[in-house]
Parts: sequence; structure tokens; C-alpha cells
Amino acid sequence: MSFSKEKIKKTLENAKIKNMIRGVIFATIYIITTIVIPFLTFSWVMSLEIEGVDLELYQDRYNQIIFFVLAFGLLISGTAFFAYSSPSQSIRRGVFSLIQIILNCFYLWSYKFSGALELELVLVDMGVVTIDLAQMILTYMGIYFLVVILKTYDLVDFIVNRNKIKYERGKKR
Amino acid sequence: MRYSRIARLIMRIFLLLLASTMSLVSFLGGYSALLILGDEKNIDLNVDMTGNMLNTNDTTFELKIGFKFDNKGYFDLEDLKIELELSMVYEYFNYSGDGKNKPIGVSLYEGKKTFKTVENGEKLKGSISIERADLEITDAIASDIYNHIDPRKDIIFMGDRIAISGKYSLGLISFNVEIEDYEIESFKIS
Repeated sequence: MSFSKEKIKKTLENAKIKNMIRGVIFATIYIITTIVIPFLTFSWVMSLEIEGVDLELYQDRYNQIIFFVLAFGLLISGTAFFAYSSPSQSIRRGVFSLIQIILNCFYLWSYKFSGALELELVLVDMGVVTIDLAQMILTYMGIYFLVVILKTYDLVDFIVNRNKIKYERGKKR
Repeated sequence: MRYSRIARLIMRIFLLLLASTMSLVSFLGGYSALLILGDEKNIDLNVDMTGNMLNTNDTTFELKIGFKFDNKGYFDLEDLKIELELSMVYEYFNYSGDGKNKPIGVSLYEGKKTFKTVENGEKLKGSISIERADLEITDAIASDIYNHIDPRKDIIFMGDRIAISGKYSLGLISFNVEIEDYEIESFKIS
């Protein structure tokens, strides 16, 4: 009896560590994709040169974009940790996944109000280059809208079938 | 596994494929920009003039604005359009009779040209030819300039406005380059 209890305790502890590691891995992935890559991209754009002409992004515009990227990136990465470190099919995972995907939508939308949607770069002493990313962001928003529906369905399913899920999880152990 | 889980799994795979494709398109779009803009040889602009623009009897006059674009990226360049507003600046000889010249600007040409899609890996060699009939200056003004220009000084062709626009990455990214008051080339009047 005590042997069985010990075994269950150990299995649960292993599962907790596994979940934590999974959470850290996914949080790292989100830090890279939502903060590091956009930061490097915009920094690269800041120092771009075409045909010997320097291309510059307005400093205040750059600061604004980086602020929103950093703010939403950190929020997304944080919720990604909580979502992926939660047990599979748990209500906690459902809630955090839904929050995370809604934050992703805000993150994309932040490109609009930070000015990154229509990126204006100055060709020093020559003119202006405008890059319009609206179509791309709208397509992403379409995909995220479908994901929001899916995550909402997931959450409802996890709540409605809570006992069944718990029973199946217990059977596995 | 419950049936609802299977349906959601299929949906999840579909969405993952969509999101991955979009990420790949975004990445390749950025990488293409790096490939194209990273090498100066990929974009080239030059101006060539034959004949005498100001001599109204010269039928050989032609101003040719040639450009080369090498699409080294991964996507086709669509809806490429170039809009041009050209002017020239010349030195009016002894303008006030005190022996001093006066630089005068005259509007020359306003027009646009669209190009066919430049497929990835293809080179576009295009040109805009401007003949006498396309010029905005009348023969009378041309003659007047011809009679008063200081022949020792160059005529400077200015791009008052050069706008280049197009779409890239499956039409998801649009760009517009606006160049103003750009000195394109200078010539001596023959």
C-alpha cells in the first residue's frame, strides 16, 4: 500500500518537473519569436543601406515599436509558461491558452498602433520608403481568430468533461 | 481518444500548417529583401540623352531612363509601377545684363509606367523613353532656352518626384519608394 503511494507521489513529482521544463521551453520559444526576432529585425532596418544611401527609421517610431514588442512579448511569453506548464487538458491550461492567443491578437494589433504596420523609413537626403504590412497582419489575424475559436472550444470541453478527463488521466497513471 | 479531440486535432494541424506557412512567407520575404538590397548590382538606374533637346529641328532627341532590377528573392515582384516627374535646371546667361547667370528650373516630363510581374530569379531591364512630343516644354520655350543658355554650364536633370511601388511576398507586402529633388544626371548641351 505504502509502496503504491510512494509510486504515485514520485510519478506526480516527475510530471510536475516535466511540466515545468515544458513551460520553460515554450516561454523561451515565445521570447525568441515575439521579442528577439522582431527586435533584431527592426534594429537591422535601422542600419540598412541601399545603393550607398542610409535608410533610417525615425528614432521615436523605433522606440514606440520596440516598447510594444517588448510589452506584449513579455506578456505572451509569461502566459505561454503558465499554459504549457499546466497539465494537459486541464482548465488552467485552457484558460491560459485562451489568454495567450488573445494576447497574440493584441500583439499583432499593436503593430498597427505602434506604427509598424506602415513602416516609414527615411532615405537620407533623398526621400521616404513606406512598407505596408497590413495585408500580412490581417491574414495572421484571420488565422488567430480561428485559433481563438478552437481554444474557446477546448476550454468549454475541459470544463464540461472535467470528470471524464480526470478519470482518463488517473487510468494512465 | 474522444471524437471531439480527433476533430480538434485535425483543425489544430490545419492551423499549424497555415501559421507555419505564413511564418515561412514572412521570413523568406525579409530574407529576400536582404538578398536584393544587400548587393548594389541588383538595382541600377542610368540616364542617357541623344540629340539636342533644345534644338527644335533635332529629330534625334531622346532621353532614356534605363533601370535594371535583379529579383534574387524568393517571390515574384508584382504590380511594379514607376512614376516620374522630371525637370531640368540650366544657367540663364547674363540674366539681368550684369554678366551674372541665373539658375532656372523648368518642368520637363510627368508620366508613369507599369511593368509585368518580375518572377523570382528573373532580371528586369526596363526603360522609359522620352521623346520631344512627350516633353512638357513647348518649342517656343525650348528655343528661348536654347538662345539664352550658358553653353559652358551643364544642364542638370532633376527627379522632382520618383515613385516606385510594387507588391512582394505573394502580394502581402506592399512598398512605395518616394524620392524627391534627386539629381539624376548632368549633360552639356551639344
